[in-house]
Amino acid sequence: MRRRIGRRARFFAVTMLVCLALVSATPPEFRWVAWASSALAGFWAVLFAVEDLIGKMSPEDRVQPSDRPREPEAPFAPPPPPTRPTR
Amino acid sequence: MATTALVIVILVALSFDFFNGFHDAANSIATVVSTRVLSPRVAVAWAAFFNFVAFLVFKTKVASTIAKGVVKPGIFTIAVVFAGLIGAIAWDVLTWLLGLPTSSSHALIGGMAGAAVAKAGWHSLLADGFRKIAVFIVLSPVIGLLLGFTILVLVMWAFHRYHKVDRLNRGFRRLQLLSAAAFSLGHGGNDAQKTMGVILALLIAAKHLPSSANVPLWVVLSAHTAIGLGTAFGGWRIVHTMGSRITKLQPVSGMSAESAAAATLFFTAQAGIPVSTTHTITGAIVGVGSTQRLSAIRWGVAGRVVWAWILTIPGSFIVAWAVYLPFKMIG
Repeated sequence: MRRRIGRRARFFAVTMLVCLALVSATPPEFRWVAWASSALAGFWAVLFAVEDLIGKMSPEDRVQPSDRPREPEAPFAPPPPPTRPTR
Repeated sequence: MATTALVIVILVALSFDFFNGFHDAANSIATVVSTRVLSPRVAVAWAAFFNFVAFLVFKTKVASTIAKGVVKPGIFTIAVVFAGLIGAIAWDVLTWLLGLPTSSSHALIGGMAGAAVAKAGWHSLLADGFRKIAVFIVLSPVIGLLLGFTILVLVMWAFHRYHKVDRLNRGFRRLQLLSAAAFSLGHGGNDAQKTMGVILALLIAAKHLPSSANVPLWVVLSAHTAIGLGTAFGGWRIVHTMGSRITKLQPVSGMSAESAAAATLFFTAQAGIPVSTTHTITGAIVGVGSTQRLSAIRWGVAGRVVWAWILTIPGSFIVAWAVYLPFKMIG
């Protein structure tokens, strides 16, 4: 079976690219933060990519759309405004 | 007259701080209540207490950034600060009523900028200060995400052969008390300082303090008291209304997410960078969730964070700019 890089590896790769894009915009005294973040994201992207290419299919690739749990509501919403009914 | 105006604006600033704690109360208690580590009442008191005592831990670098690193010296007046606060509060209230995502921290920065630009044009803003804040708007939730993921993976790796799951959960529940306290410290240390910065700017503008002054102790205590009370009142309201809608988390996940968010907030407070605590804990939760699978992540929540990035600063900027215009006409 042809192996492919999973979504988690790609997610961390995108995160790494976002951090790299911020390096030039970051003030010089804080650039190490952007570099360190991109390095950490890159590390996980490579690790998951290697795992996907040499290992078994990841659990999320086995999940069918109908199996996915319904997205619950945001937990960190502020208190509801006075006009909305409380539950 | 000037003193009366000063007192009124200081009270408005403290009201903003109170509302900040009120609005963000869920951040402080949701994880620790969902894992049943603390009862809702105790969780609210725990979070409010550590919001208050954060002044013993952090220096006032974030306050200095707000007071002196965003707008050029001499631009702030009582009217400018007042318009900025009204812009931030109005935007927060509007988004709360409409259920839109927002960040109180970014609303304050946008409000201050809008009022300053209304008074003295775009050159009144300090590009370096805004650059720092703008970068960490994106970077702070990303750091929370990466740290949350890494911490949980390391913990899972360290304990993967430990079979006494109940004992392990009990241990992590105790650790979550510490991580929740650390997060509330970071929240208080970052968010209360924004109001301190505003009041410091006010006192300098009103010539009650020199431009090189640090934050007076009474300002520190009043800001932390306001945010602690806001957390207590907001948390209480959430306890009675959210109920089982709080996300279910395992103690180890809650501990990892809060530790990651706390570490990010501690760093940014020490570096004097104002960030959104809501976005930081959201990033940490996403990071922790992605250890299972990406479909376990509430992408709707993450999407709301992105919309808040886009909407908050421009929205509060426009409101504050409009509020200041009558003052400019009066002269």
